[in-house]
Order: sequence, then structure tokens, then C-alpha cells
Amino acid sequence: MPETKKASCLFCSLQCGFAMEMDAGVPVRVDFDSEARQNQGSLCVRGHYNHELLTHPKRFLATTVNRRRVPWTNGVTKVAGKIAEIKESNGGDALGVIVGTELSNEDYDAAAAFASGALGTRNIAVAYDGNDFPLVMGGGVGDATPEDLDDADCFIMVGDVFWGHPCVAKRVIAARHKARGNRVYSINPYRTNTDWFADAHLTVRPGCEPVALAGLLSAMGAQGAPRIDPAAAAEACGMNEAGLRAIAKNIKEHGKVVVLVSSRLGNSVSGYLTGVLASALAQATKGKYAPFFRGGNAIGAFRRIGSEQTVPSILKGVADGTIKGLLVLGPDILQLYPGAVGTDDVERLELSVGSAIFENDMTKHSDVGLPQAVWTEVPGTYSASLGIENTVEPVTAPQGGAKSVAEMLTAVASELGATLGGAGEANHPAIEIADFEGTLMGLAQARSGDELSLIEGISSLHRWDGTITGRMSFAQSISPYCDIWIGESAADGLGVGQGGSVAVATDRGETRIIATVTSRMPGGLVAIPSYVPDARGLLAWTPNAETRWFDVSAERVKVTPET
Amino acid sequence: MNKRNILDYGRCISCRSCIAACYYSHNAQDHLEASSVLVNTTLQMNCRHCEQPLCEAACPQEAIKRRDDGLVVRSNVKCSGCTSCAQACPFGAIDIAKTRHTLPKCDLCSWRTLEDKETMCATTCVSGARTFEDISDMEAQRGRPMRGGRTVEKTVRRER
Repeated sequence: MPETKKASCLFCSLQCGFAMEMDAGVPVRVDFDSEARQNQGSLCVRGHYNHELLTHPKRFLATTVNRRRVPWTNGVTKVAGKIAEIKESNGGDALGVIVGTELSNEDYDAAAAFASGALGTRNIAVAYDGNDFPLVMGGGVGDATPEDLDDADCFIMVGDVFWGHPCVAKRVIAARHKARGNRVYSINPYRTNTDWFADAHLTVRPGCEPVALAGLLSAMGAQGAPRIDPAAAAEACGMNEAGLRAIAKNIKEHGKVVVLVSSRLGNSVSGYLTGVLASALAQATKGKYAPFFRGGNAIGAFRRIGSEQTVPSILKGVADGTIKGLLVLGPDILQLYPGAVGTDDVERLELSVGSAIFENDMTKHSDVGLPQAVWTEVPGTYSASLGIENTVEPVTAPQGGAKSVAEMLTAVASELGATLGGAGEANHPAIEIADFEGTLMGLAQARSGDELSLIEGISSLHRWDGTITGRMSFAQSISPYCDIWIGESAADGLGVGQGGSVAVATDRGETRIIATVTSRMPGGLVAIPSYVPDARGLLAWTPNAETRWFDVSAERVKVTPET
Repeated sequence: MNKRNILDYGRCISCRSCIAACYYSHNAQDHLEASSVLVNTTLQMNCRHCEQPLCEAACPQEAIKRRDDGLVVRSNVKCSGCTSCAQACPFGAIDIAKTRHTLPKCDLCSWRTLEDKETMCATTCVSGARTFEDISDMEAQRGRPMRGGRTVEKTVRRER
């Protein structure tokens, strides 16, 4: 019987448990942990990569200073020396810290204490994946437990839950088939495998998920429901008012409702409003709310790190020169925010530190590169969805010179002669919306990018701005999943017919997809109803008659001659 | 042993975790590769472990053998990659690994079934679609072997 060691996955906030099969202390393959509460032994495709993370040939394992390999202590001394210099000449606020969402709670505590104690700066922010931040700001972290999913008799799924978090599928499907009256409703702009299991699929316009939720609340006559017309909400869901009211009535009749939300939603505004309204719907039905996030420990980061600063605002400081030293612990900001910061900006900094699991653009262009340990290499606690707190024991020692973020920051702080005290409570500035109903219905009627500026406060906050992750080719990610929706007048202008071939291009490549001409898309609107990161911005477009290319935020849509 | 991998098409969410589990547990040999790309559901394209395997009869190297316990196993060492078995298989369950000059096929995770564990693909399945069941009383249990109302719309796309 081979030895196995238990750990948990950090590729999404469900944090599934798994076991690593060991051979003489070396991890050889991923095995299953049927005792894990959240996934009961199942693992999605991403989960199987946990083994590759440890043994991948491109792991970043040696400390670098000016791209040369040096002992770890040299790197730490260099970082501490530069920090002391910048602090003395420009003050603490000339330093910034950006962390990712795949660190442990201890790492976040250390980062918060390091920023406030050792650096004396307020510039600390989390680079959230997707719309994790707006969603958690809107609805919190939820109150559902895995057992609630087993007992539930009605599910309302917002977004493509089974695609983003497949390991909940078994529970949802089993609970649906437990009794004849059990129901599953899904709110999703396009039809996926999640919706195949739904009794009713509300095919909303992209970004209109909160309108559907508000319509349901309003039709239920829930206390404090948004004062919107259910007929208008039903129209945004592609159905008539009677249909929406029937669903609302049916939901009300169920005693154990669970609202599941996957965080890959239109933009920050609809992400935030979805959080607000999905949790309100759970409350109105005396049910449970279960949001799932893309970032593995997004909940831990949200609870521990909060300031008035955001990643875009820190990067703005980098670009205009007010920030002289930047520590990036985890994410590759050069890839995640290509419009906000470039390699020149990073190289111009007096101190740039890149710490990551894999070699990336940030570690390559930083003055100091610090190799970071994978979560299965160091002990730590992590906050997962469904109210689970995971404690991970290392399955193997860190490879090469990799260290945990807490260890790195403690060493730098002791070089500086400071100690890391306790971290304070995260303090997130509240988001105020003056005209809630107007904003909500604005989503249903928005055209040409209006919706991105509906709420001044959050449109700039951690918005998934159609940037490029580089993990997968664009053509690969888009082709099997979707078609492109074109409004009727836009289709006339473009000269594209039903089922015509349309080329969609981004920096990651070009692909050809099928056009669906539909009256569901108002006027001159073009949308790719898919959760492809690049296609996020396709809600707005500017026709350019000369080139037959259409600039759509980060993308361009080109109509090819029909053959 | 009379247990086989069963796929309930009505439950499959096409997440392809079974394919990943199979890939990583078989030294990157794609036993389930043929079932990979489908929009609606994953197809059961793995070996059925026939009672009278045509692949065994077709193999000139005697690399494929039906064991006493019913498993049809293939020897990596003896296999010369001649593709005879792939042509003989009526289910299209054997695919050609061009880079290795061998023809990997499902072995029902024999190292796991020896320990009385389920196969990798059945254990990892996130929707409960793929199960590892005794087929002798399956007719009685299920009424008919394949259940579910979903039609498989697309043809299997074999891409390398």
C-alpha cells in the first residue's frame, strides 16, 4: 500500500481535499481523499495538476538579484537595504505591496503587519482574480455548508457553477433527484452543462444576472426587495412576466433553498450587485448563500487585507513615479495589468521584488526575485467557501530555495530591525449606490460601455478588464464553447447573416465562431456570451467601416466574407 | 471480477476530470483521449473488456491478453504499434499514440482494483456520472444499460 499524504487544492475557493501518493518521500501522483467534506473524493481537471506544480521544470527555485542567482540571504539583505534607503529619502508611502490570492492566512497576516509595521505604508492591495472582490463586497462569504447542499430542495445557480467549481455538481444533481418536487434554476447568459441540469434556465443578457435576481425578489414580494418592475426584469431574462412570477412562486414554496454563485460575472458592477441580491434572495427564502470565488484563498485575503488602495491605484503610483519600491508577492502584474504597468515602469523602480511559484515576467524584470513555495510545501491555514477552514500540512519540503511569503517577510523585517506585530482587521471602504434601482435597470439597458461607469466607486476596483493571462490560447479557450450574439441592426450593418462566420481576434490569437443574429441583443450590440476572459469587454463596440474590424475594448471583431 | 466503468450520459457535465485522472495515472498515456472533446457530454470511449476480444485475435505480437479475471490487458513491451487492434475494435476504444508507437488502452486501473478501489476515472468524477459497477446485475438495477435523456449531438473529434 503506497503512502499517501493529505492536502488541499487551491485552484478555486472550494479548496477540495486530495491526497498525494508518495514514493520514498517523493510525490508521484494525486490520489483521492474521500473524507474531504467539500468534494468527497472527487477532483476536477485542475485538481490533478497539484502534483505537476511540485515537479514542474519551470518552477522558480533560485533567488536572483539583477537576474543573477545568489544565495537567499543576499537577496533578503538587498531588499532590506533598498527599503531602508527609500524609506529614509521618500517616506514609507513610497513603498507598495501587492499580494495574490493563493497565499495562506499566515502569509496575509505577515504581509499586513509587514506593510504597516516594517514599511509604514498604506499601499497594500490584493490582486484578485476576476470579480472576486466585487462579489465578496456585495454578498460576503456566505453561510452555506456542504451538508446544506445535500439537504437542499431548491438550487438557484448564478453563472456557470459546474464549469468553474465542478466538485459541487455531484451534490447538486443528487439533491435534485432526491425528491420529485426538488428544483434547480439557473441564471446564465449562455447555455452550458450547468443549465442542462436546470428545470428552468433564465437566459439573461450578459451582465444582467442581478436584474434576474431582483426580478425574482420583486415578484416574491420580499421585504426590502428592489422596487423594479418584474415585467422589465423578465424581459431582460428573455421570458414573460408570468414565467418569472411562476419561478418566484415555486422558489417561495421550497423550504431549503441554496443560492450558488460562481464569481465569473460580467463586470465589477454586475458582480457587486449579484452579491448583494443573491445573498438577499437567500435571506428572503430563509435559505443559504454559497458564493464561489476564482482565487483559492480570496476569502482569507479579503478578511485580512483591506485598505483604501487598490492594485490599479498602486500601479498608477508606479507609473507616475510616486512609488519607488514595489513588492509583488504571488501574481504576475505585468501579465495581469498590461495596460496599467509595463516592464519599463518596473525596471525604473528603485526596488522591485517579484516573488512567485513559476518564473514569470515580474520575476524576470525585478531587481530581486524570491522563489515562493507552493501551498503543499509549507504549513498554513486557508479559508474556503462553504464555511470550511483548511489546515494544510506540507506533503514535501520546499523545492530548491523556495520559501513561504511569511518566512521571506519575517527575514526582511528582522534585517530592517523591525518585528512583525499582529495584523489588524481588514478595513474595506464601503460602496455607496445612490440610485440602486436605476443602476440595476441601467444594466438591462446599457449600451456601448455605459455600464462600466454606472458606479463611479467600483468600476475601477479590481475590475477584470479583459486582460490576458497567457495560460491558454484564445482560440483554444473560445472555440468549443460559444457563438457570438449580434443585435439585428448591427448584423444588418455588418452584412452578416444567421449562422455566418465571424472572426474574433485578441492579442492571443484569432478564431472563427458562428454568429447568432438575435433580437435579444438590443440594437447595435455584439456579445460573446461566454466566460472567456478576453471576451469580457465585448459588450461595447465601435464600428469601423473602412477596415471591417470593430474595436471592442481589448478585442476586435471582424466579419469575414461569407462563403 | 465483473465490474466495469459505466458512464451515465444524463449526468455527465463534460468537465473531463476523468481524462485528466487517467492521463496522470498511466504515465501520460491517453487511454481516454478518444473521449475527450465533446460539447455536451463526454463519450464512453474506453475499453469494454469484451468476453471475446477482437483486438486480442487481431494482435500479431500477442501483446493483448484476456486475463482470467476478465480484464483485457495490453503489454507495453510487446506492443509494436501496428494498429491492428485499433482497426479490429468495434467500439473505437483503442487510439493510436503516435509519439510512442504503442496503442494504449484502458486497463481498468488494475493496480487499484487489486486493492479493491474504484478506477481513477470513476473516483474523480465530479457529477457521479462515471461509476465502477458490477455489470452482471446492471440490467436489473437500471432497466437498460444506458440511462438519461440527453442526446450526443456532436461527432467525436479526434485531434492530436
